[in-house]
Amino acid sequence: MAYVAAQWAREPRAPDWVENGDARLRQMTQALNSKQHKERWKYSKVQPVLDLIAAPAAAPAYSPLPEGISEIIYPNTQNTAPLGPDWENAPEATACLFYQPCVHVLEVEGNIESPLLIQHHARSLPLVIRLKANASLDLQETMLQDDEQQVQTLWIELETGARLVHSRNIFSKGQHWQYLRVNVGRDASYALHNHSSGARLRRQDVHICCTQPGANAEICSASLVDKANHLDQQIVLEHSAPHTNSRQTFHAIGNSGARVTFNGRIHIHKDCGGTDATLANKNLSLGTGAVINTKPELEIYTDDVKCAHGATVGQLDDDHLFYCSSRGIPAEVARNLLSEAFLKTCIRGPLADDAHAELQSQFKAQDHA
Amino acid sequence: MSLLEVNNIHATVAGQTILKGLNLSIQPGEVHAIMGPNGSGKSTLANILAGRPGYEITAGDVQLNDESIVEWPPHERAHAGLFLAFQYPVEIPGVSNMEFLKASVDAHAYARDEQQVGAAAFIKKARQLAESLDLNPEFLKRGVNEGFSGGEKKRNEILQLLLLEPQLAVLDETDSGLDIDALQVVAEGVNRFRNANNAVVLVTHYQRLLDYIVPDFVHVLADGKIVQSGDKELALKLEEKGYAWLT
Ligand SMILES: Nc1ncnc2c1ncn2[C@@H]1O[C@H](COP(=O)(O)OP(=O)(O)OP(=O)(O)O)[C@@H](O)[C@H]1O
Ligand SMILES: [Mg+2]
Repeated sequence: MAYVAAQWAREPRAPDWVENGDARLRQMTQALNSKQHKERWKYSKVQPVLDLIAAPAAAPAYSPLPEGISEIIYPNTQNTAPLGPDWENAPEATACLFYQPCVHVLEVEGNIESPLLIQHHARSLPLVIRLKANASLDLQETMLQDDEQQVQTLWIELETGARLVHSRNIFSKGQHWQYLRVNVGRDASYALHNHSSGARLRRQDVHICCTQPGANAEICSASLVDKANHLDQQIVLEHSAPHTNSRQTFHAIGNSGARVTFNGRIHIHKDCGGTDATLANKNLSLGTGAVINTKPELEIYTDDVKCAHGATVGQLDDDHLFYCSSRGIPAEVARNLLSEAFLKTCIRGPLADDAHAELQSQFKAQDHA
Repeated sequence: MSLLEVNNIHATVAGQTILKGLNLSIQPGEVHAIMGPNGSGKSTLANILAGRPGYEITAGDVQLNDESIVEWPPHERAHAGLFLAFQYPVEIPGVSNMEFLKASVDAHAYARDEQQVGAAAFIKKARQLAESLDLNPEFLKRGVNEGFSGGEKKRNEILQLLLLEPQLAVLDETDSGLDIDALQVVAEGVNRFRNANNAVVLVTHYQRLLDYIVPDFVHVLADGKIVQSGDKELALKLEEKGYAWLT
């Protein structure tokens, strides 16, 4: 079956401002039917996501912008999008730029003391956050839990020496697709604290590029996927300059009947000596019948680099369980305590307390039998 | 009424018979030392008492306060007053010591239909106990036994003993790997625990511990059975002669 973008299947028309026969339509259709694209969407259905891309979207709600952050709205997004279209690697996200009438850009200058809070509801317009040289920001992203269908695309650019701590707590239950693209510039540092639960369909695409020497990127992610829920994380960490670092740790728990997919690729380009990249993905399978697919990949074109990656799928440790029960802690309480501990090592940053409370309540609501 | 009656138990681990008809009778207020060669089954006995999965009783019975406990899961044995200080306490990263101790104490309270101890009072008590055992209270914030030295792990076991106040404490080589000062601290902790209503089983290789915690009985376990029982003179004799003369 050939995929078609968005509503074309039912109502084949491009956005009003696109001329008929626009080369981009062809490009998009090609990209959505490419081999790589099919590979990337092996474990999640893409059509529900494509259906959402062209639906009307609104700007996400954010806290009053503190001094140092200004908002610019660009119309005709695809021509003006600060990070540009990327049909090859991110056709869906690029299609968002193509279909939506505008993109919101937040420009950040200086050291912003108070956190910037973003709350998504349903479909958010594409958002770009650009940190100017030496700017620093604490970005906290959450979403309303009750919307059935949610789409967000977020582009982030860190100029020389900029620092961003980015936390996201994502616990909605419906269908959700989220794309994040980050360019980390010279001596800039980016940290992502990602906390999520499963949903009917949750797909998180993250593409981080360390583009200049001294760039540093970190991801710490904790996910709890309950029975009959789905989580698909597709992560690309690209090093395209020498002397760049990345550290990635992903922990996920799949309860009985959950489907968890992790695909993490480290891509080190040519002439990127002195790069240091690690990726660890650990999965805990509770109960029976969780389906966990994990595929860490390395693509390395420079000799002089340090790179380590690993993935595990395991169960709770019997010795840990016995130690707990010998102290009077009943088995189901012990299992919760130990599972929480497994996630807790990856719950960090300013939204950690909220994430912890949410995941704890989800634990309590589950039965792991 | 006996506190513990171990009646002719046979037990297997991984398909191998390790305990071969072991008897032990413990009254409140007593201290029993169990000595014996490596691999004779001392830890197996301790694990059988605590209910460790994989350790199977094939014959005989274990009664705590006149109730057979062999079918009980480990946490119910703990609620009934049994405590095992592990020969090799495990590390559990991510679960803080404090959280673990509180969960244990809460589980005991819940089983007894008692009110939970408030968090502040609990933290204070745990810190005081840690200090009394020469353990830096800051350790309570770390993961359970995480990065603890051998001696610190053993002191942490005694901390749990003092916190949970069981009726029967089974201490599996709690003295191994302790320096001389730590040995005294641990012995003092055990003696602090002791009263007329509870009892202690000390598994040890060293007579030295028995200078500090004076046993009422010393048993020698060899090849899955108690082959000799006596008072603390027996421990001195073992120290001098080894085990060969017994078997
Ligand atoms: N989980 C296990 N799997 C296989 N064999 C075991 C297991 N636990 C104990 N054993 C075996 O049972 C026998 C008794 O072991 P146990 O640990 O009870 O000895 P011990 O008297 O405590 O020795 P030590 O003085 O060295 O601590 C040994 O041969 C040991 O290898
Ligand atoms: Mg032993």
